[in-house]
Amino acid sequence: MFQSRIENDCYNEMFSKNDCIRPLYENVFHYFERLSPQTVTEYYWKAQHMLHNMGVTFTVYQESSSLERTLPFDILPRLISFDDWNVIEQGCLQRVRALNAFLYDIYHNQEILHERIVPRELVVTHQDYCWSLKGLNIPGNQYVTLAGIDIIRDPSGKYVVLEDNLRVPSGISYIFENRRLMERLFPDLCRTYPIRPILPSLSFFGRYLHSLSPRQRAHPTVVLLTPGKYNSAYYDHIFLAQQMGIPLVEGNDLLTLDNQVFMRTVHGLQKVDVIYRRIDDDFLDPLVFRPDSVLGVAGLMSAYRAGNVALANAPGTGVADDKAIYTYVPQMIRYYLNERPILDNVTTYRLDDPDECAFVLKNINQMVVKKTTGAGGYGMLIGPRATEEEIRVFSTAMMERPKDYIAQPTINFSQHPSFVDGDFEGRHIDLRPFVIGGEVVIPGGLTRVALPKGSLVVNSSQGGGSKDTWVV
Amino acid sequence: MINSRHADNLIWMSRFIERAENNARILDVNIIRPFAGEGVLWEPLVAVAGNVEDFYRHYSVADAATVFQYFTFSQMNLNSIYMCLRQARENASAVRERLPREFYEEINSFCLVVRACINKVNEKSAYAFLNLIKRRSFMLQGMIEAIMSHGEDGAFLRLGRYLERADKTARLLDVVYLQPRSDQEDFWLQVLESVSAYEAYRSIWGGQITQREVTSYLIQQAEFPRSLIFCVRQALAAARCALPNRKGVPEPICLMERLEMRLRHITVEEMENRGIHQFLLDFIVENNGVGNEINRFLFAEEEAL
Repeated sequence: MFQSRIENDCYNEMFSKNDCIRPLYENVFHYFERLSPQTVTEYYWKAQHMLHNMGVTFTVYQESSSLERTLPFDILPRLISFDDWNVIEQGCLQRVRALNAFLYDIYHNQEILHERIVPRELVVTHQDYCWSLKGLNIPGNQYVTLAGIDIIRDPSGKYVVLEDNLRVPSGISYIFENRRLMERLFPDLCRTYPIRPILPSLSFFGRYLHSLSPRQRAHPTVVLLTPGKYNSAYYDHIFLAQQMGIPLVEGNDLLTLDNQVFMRTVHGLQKVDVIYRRIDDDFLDPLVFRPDSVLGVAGLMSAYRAGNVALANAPGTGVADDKAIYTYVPQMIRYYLNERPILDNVTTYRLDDPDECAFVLKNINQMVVKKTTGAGGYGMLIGPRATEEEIRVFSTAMMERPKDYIAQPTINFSQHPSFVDGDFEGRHIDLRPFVIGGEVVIPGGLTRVALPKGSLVVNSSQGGGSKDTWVV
Repeated sequence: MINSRHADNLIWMSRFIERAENNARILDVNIIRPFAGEGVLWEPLVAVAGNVEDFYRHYSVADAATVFQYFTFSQMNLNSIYMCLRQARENASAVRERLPREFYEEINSFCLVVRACINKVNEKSAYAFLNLIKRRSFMLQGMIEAIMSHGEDGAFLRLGRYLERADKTARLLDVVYLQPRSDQEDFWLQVLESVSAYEAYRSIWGGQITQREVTSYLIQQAEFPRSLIFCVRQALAAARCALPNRKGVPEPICLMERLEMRLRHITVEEMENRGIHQFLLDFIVENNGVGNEINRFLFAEEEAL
């Protein structure tokens, strides 16, 4: 096992440059080294089988049939030292605090726009800027109830933020299911590390949602609004509803009367106080957003504006996780918090600046170009791996609508040994810590693995897998 | 307070588990232990778990092989064992956040196991396969009793289970009456075995096994858990716990009370005068009516407030 260890141009989480095991990983290394490839393969299949039986699957719907897939689970855990974690945790909290202040600001006095720190047109012409929220005070002034911050480790080993997910970030259930799998498969290995527990953060999440209730009641009604089983993150929804003991509802289960939201129950209508929604802004309320949406609840925004129901995350947060706005987050941290950013951004070029645009076009074969509105690993160009044709198409598009694109130098982010075809080989990984209520970060977060050799795309839609992540 | 859609999902999940088990029972007695002498009439059997017209759209003859296929894995028959389990699982998925994790794992892996059996079960392995269905169904029933809340959720599950079981016992009886050897004792022994009533019946009636006694036993014996009256009473008790009074007593409960009363007071002679077939048919229709009323109760908009 552990054959091909080191690739020089990136950071390896498990081995240092001179091919020594990092001290943190010693137990893991010795544990897996003594196993034969057959045994490890058996563990791998056992894990897949368990995921199937547990029903931890997402469904890929094609024309006529539906396929149930499991997110590939990599049995080698990723370890983060307590000190490193401290930096990540504080950095994520700081970021979410600043982003939340930014959201409050742009929906109220817009001071950051008046002071021209962030360009006004970038914000107010943004497709996700929610005009019906302007001037509205929302419960606790908390726009971002759940945030997922995507972090990578650059070749020097420094953690940097790749993007912020402030709308309906998914993947949280895999953190917990991966841990459950590891504890079942390798109880002896788990015992050798003082792993920070993760379950308490879910209790906090539940309490936090309760605290958003506009009505002061001992037991407010909190529901999770899902688009339904066809959503690829449906397992996330089930899991969270189950863990927090709240009903999982679809748009049809809710209705509004006199600016109040009700749930249809066998006892008649029950007033709903807090909605943790996992459907996008566009589909929330056909009267305000897309009129053809059948997933949402007619009148929901009106009830929200009247202060009779809390929505988490708040609508209109999408404007703050836009890839162009992302470049201003360090300025936001300085402006709102008067602090130095704990986690840096990846160097990012804005293509509406002529100099930066010219630089990017000149060096495009070393750049990653992303559409500002893209997500899920789609709508991006990875310069070093792209064909000339792709580069030509992308360059033309960039010149036509420079505001719609940003570019970043290609970063060979860190690698971690992963179980592939009977052997442990280095694969690129990222990290998505989840911040709850701007106060608590789930220790560890979701580590995603780009399973195809050399791939830098970790998204599950493009062959990504995941690992259990231990803070020790 | 449970959301109406979830209540509906719980009822149907429970119904489909029970339906799959009953299909296994019917096959067990009719296919695994084929009646000696003259052949079985297959068509009425098809009617228990499906639709004869639909059957002939897919198969040219009704015999042991085609009926077995139709009952077990056919994806054309929405009531085949496999399709029942698939639907049970779909309903379970829709209310998954209310179910204990172990329960969902059990129903999920049950469905996956049956799917893996498709095209692999033949006459020789049929017994083992049907036994597996029964056992895993028992497992789920046991879990419902042992680890699930006995409040609202449990009540909806029991409601679905007993409505379905009453329907299936009635259909089974109806089918056996049409079989050519329904006047012979060993035939009735097999009927008793198909509903696991053999020992219980013996302990009450000893050696006396006739058509009339068995029929009355399966309809009116108050302690046997698959008799019509037992099922109706259990469903009634579950409904009283599950369905709250909104404007007076809910309609499904009224219907079930009437049904229970009729089963309690009718004598075998009266049934025979009307014709057992007609009696069972009426029961099946009324029992279905209860299901429809429950649906209306759960989703009636005007009563919601």
